[in-house]
Amino acid sequence: MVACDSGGNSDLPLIFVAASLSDVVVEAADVYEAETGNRVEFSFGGSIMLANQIAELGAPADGFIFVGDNPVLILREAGFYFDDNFLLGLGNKLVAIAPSDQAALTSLRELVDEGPRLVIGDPSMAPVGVFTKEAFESAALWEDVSRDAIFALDTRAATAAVQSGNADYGIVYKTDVISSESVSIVYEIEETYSAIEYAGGKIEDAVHSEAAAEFLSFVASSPKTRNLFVRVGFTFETPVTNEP
Amino acid sequence: MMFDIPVIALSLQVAFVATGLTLPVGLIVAWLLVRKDFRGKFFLDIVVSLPLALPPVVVGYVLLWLVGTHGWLGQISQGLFGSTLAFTWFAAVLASSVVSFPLVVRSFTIALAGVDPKLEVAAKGLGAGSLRTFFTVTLPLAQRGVIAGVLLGFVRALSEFGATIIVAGNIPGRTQTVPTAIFTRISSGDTNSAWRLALVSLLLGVIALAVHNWLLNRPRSPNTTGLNRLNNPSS
Repeated sequence: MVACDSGGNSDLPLIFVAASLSDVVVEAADVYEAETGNRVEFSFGGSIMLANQIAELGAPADGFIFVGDNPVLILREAGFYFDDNFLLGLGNKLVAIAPSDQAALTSLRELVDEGPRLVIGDPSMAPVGVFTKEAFESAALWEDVSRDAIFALDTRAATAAVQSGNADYGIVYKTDVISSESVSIVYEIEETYSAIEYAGGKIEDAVHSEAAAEFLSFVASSPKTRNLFVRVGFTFETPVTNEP
Repeated sequence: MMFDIPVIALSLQVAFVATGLTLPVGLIVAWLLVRKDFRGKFFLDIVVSLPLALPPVVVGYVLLWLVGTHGWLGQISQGLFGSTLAFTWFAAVLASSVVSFPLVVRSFTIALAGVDPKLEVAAKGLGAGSLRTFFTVTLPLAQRGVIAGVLLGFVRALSEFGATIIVAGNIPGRTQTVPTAIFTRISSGDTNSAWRLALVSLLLGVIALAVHNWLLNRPRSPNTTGLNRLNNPSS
């Protein structure tokens, strides 16, 4: 069938990637292809949603880059991931954003009190929502926010809602703002939320899990790809290794 | 623009294969519904039409339950090919087929019901078997309605979103179709490229509906039907 050529190109490793990394990881894959000749494919979305697709629904992922603890726990508990985290040290921060002409805020409370339309990530699908929930909980504002805020699928969808003017404020990752021109940071949220750390690993028993691991280890170790991440605002510390 | 071509190609591929599945199955089911009386006909009619009455996301969920890791179809394909059908382009075909099936069957049913059963009886009286009667008398007489049904099913398959995103996911280059790509682009604020694909959908829809309406409304030309050959065996 003709069909097989254009459609199910499943000879390439498929890596499920947190929405916040969607631009940078495509650039990293270009570097990877230029240097090794190997290609990878991606599926993007909220990490929790993607982890559930792998663990519960049989999605054919060979590797992943997720953010936060929950997605990794989902994979571990279902027996899909036991191995190393290739991306130790890759991190992010939470910020409040608004269309570029908005004035800066001085506290989280302002996002609630004046009743603007606030968009946040859905905590059941996107880790950005989990971190957002933690931040508002520690300010004792979560009840108000969970009642009034618009829930978006992932951090990019939340950013897009502010970008299009359909929301006045959004809580997203700092790196989302750098990839968007029409919004700017109005508040850097105090780190009352868990550390935002990424984890990259291979999926146990997947057809191309070794190829996925090769890509992830390349991304973690190549100075070029590390620079890509740092350039768009990710923190990327060299992990301390205990190996001799 | 270059990004759009694989998406459009995959969408067309999915819709063509889905149409290839719904055409024969739809003809059989429509024929049973129009020409046969049997126990369970009432339920067959309901089951066939059910996807029209269900949220597509429910259709997707049921399909996922069948072809995913825990489903029996999923376990069969796991055994045969080492992977489930969930999140493959063929899962998108299944979603499109099931969702478009009621439209196809309804069009076919109307088309077949418009064929005078006396002509079929006459053909059989002249010695034609059931299959031959169907292909030389019934189908040619019903052809416009059948083609219209195929087109309607094709556009519905092309625009399938809800069931598709559940059972096939939204993986660029593998299972991402025009509607799911538009969804991604809207969600990520990629407005221009979302509009571009929306225009492609619009264009495909207008073309298919124009042909569909033209087929149903143009005057019947008697020379091409089996009826004519039946009346003038010498021609």
